[in-house]
Amino acid sequence: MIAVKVRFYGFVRSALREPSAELSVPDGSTVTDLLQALGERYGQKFTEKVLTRQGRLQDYVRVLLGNDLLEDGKLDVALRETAGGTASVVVYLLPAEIGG
Amino acid sequence: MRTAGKSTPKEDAWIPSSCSMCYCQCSIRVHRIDGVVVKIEGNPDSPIGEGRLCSKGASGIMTLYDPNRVNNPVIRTNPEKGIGVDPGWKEVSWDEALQYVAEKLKKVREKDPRLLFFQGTTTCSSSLSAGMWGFVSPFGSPNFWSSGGGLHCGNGAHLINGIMHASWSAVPDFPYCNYALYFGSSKGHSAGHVATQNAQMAADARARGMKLVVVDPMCNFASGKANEWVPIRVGTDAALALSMVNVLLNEKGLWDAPYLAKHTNAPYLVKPDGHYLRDEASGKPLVWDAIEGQAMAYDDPGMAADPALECPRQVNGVECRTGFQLLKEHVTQFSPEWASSITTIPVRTIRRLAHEFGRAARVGSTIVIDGMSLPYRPACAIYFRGAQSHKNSVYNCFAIELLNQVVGAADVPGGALGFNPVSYGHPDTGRPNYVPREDPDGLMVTGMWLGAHLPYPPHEPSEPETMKLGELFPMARNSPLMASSDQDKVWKQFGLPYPPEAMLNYGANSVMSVGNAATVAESLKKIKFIVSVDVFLNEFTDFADVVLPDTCYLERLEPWPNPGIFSHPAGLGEWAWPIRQPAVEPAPQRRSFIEVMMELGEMIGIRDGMNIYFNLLFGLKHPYQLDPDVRYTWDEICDRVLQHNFGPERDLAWFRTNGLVKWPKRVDEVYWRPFLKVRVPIYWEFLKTMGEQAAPIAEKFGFPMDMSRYEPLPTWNPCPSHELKDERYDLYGFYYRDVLHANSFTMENPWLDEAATMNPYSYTITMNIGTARKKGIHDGDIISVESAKGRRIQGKVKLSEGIHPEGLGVAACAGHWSRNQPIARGKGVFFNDLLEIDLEHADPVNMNLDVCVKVRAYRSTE
Repeated sequence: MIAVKVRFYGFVRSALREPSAELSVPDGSTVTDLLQALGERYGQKFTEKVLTRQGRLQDYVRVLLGNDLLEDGKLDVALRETAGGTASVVVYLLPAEIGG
Repeated sequence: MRTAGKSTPKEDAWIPSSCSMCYCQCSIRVHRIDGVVVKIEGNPDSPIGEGRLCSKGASGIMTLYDPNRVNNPVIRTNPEKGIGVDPGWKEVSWDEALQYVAEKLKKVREKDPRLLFFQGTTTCSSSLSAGMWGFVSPFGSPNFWSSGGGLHCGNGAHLINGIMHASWSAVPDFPYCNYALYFGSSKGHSAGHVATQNAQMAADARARGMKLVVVDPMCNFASGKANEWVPIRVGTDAALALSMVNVLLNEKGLWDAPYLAKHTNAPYLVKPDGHYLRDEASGKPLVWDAIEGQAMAYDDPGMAADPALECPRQVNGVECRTGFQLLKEHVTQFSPEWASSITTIPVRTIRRLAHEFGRAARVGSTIVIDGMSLPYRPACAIYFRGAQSHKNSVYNCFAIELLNQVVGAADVPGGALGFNPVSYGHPDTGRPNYVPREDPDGLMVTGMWLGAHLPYPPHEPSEPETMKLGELFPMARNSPLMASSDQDKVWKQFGLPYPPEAMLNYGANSVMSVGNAATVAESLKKIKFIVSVDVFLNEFTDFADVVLPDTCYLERLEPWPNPGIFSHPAGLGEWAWPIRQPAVEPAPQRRSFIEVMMELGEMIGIRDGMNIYFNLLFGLKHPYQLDPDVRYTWDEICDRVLQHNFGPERDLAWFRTNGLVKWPKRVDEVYWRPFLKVRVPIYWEFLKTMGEQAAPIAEKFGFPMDMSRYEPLPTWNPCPSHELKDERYDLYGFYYRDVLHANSFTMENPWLDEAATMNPYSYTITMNIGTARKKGIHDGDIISVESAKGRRIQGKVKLSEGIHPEGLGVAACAGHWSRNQPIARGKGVFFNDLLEIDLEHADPVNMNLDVCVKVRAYRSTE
């Protein structure tokens, strides 16, 4: 199993009250698997906030694995533990744009 | 350092930087002698202006040294709030002010981060993205708006340019365009984005022989210099554009078939239900291969030729039409005769304009530039605020844009050019790099945008959580609900926890920039705690609890004033990346907004989220990526941004000396359309889908939505002003942006005020001379202008033949009353006070506020 720490930023509080989550996922799990596991933990509201009906990232969501920003459509990246023994993931919901 | 008392040697320096007296952000150089700014000029070394500067930019020195600026943090002592109510300011230290603010915001965040409402400005907005969003994001509130920005400006124009040109805006390709048709726009005439550079390019184009035709209710900045001014009834631009498309397609039989087949969704097959016919296996939209006689996925490499623009009646057993066929049939209802009755433009003029436009486009011709053969379409239709600031905002822009699409005059030589949507980066680093890409339906997704929510594809509608109902209205960049008269009712309807409890304002004066002041004031009075960071005390700060004195643009550092798709000149030439840097140290108690936000972020405990946000905003990667656990200075962050993009040899110190880096543009960056495999939608199937997804959500909450605006092809729909039947209200009041001022912000500038005072139109109400004669109104009379809702403004009338007989034009956004702005106070006319702020006056798709109003006008002595 891989220990994963997920930190949430942005407008996620209506879907979950905690700023971070720690969970274990099976070896070989990908970021896609992790998002599915988070959806099971936090429910439909979280999933809808992060993913489209087609399973792609919403355009305002950014996911980082360690320090690396993952491109939409390329979330099948294997989770990897860092030196601290935990895989670090950031899920960031960005705000809407300015007007002009 | 100042060397008072010494005669020699004097410090004498020119500092390269960037203007911020409006959103154009032109490159400047600032002359400083003995620590005092004595002159501001355009920077001749930068392609962003090439040494030109407008009156606003040259007058920035008077904003820097304005004796009426706020110079100390102040806290309100008078609990009563209202228009004209003195807050009873008490000066406090920065420590006291920030502690007070941080404690309040912490409590709000603990209770519910949504209850903090952020308000920014578009007038001088470049630092806003880093400072405001950097704080907004980790704080956890989604509630943000740009005061009147968007509602009065680009909710429609920027959205449609994003969908159709992958850019914030579009201009004629001045060096090659021969026929420019403007709708409610003055681009190239000291207005709009890239004002100074476009002015030169427009002048050169006119000298070369480009014909300029301007459709506008008023003959002012562009129309006053045009070959032809076409007066139009306010808010009817789409009717003209649709009838012109009809003439092109159905009377002249003119369209650019290869362009439509390759670069739009015109050949996509559409079922009777309005949706694409899709490939069962891949889900991709189908097109008709006329040679093979079968339907194929739009990107099937086995297609024998371009997909057909017309298809058999039945395809795969389903009744079908292509998007092109549907458009062609749809516009038959918009005859020139029909359009004439709505726009007041003569039928023969409408036909002539369509013929001139179509002929000028030279469909089928090519041109060789730098050895590359490219489509040559030297005609374009350009639209901006005037055309789009109505309840029919989305369809107005879509209808006008169709003119460009039908003749293939989009992002090719001579046509309508987006502002730099393709960048392959500096030759040394390949940065910045952004290129439009295709979505699964083959339609274009912008490579760069000013924010996370892209214009296309819009996110799927969901149950609203934000103040503006953005989830239900994915195409609404801003929404009147932030300050509307019906906000409480709507929020209650959706079970939302608003009004907000706290507000953080950066540089906006929403009391004047949205609509009638009384409605905005009521919305502000509901908010328990308001903080404003600004350079002046004004009508808005009368509602604030704390005001923090900001630096102005001549006192602060910013690494990226000119995002390519926003304020960088389009067309061939050079790329430039300038910085903004302090020309002088700020007065002791003024602090940069960004640094204040970073300080508050530390106090509230959101530094990690701010650092990650900065990494995302600036695309920072190792070794320049910020560590979430480290506290950086703003200078350090700017240094990393610059090195990340241009290498370690061009760090902040290098930029401080040189001001900017520049490099040549490539032909395939400027005229990118033929080089990229992306299509744009001339048939908006996605809008129909959006409406169908939004409808059940709205129904669940008993919220009425006008689904007729979610159809894939545009129509003209009347504004509320057109529907008012009371004949006493016989004029269409509208406002325009005076090129001498940048919204309400510059009204306090003495030099600009002096110039505006000399201009007969800046501070007056313009009325048609014939109309005035019938009403017994004389030039210079003081008149009252009154809406059917009883809202009234007053001002001196200026009579002119250069305004539509039914129009009443006012330069915005004057008429200040703040005692803290003695130069601006009492000057000009506050047009916005006539405007209703509610959903009835908003576009049902993008929530753009309708800013025309039916009025009656009479001498105030009556």
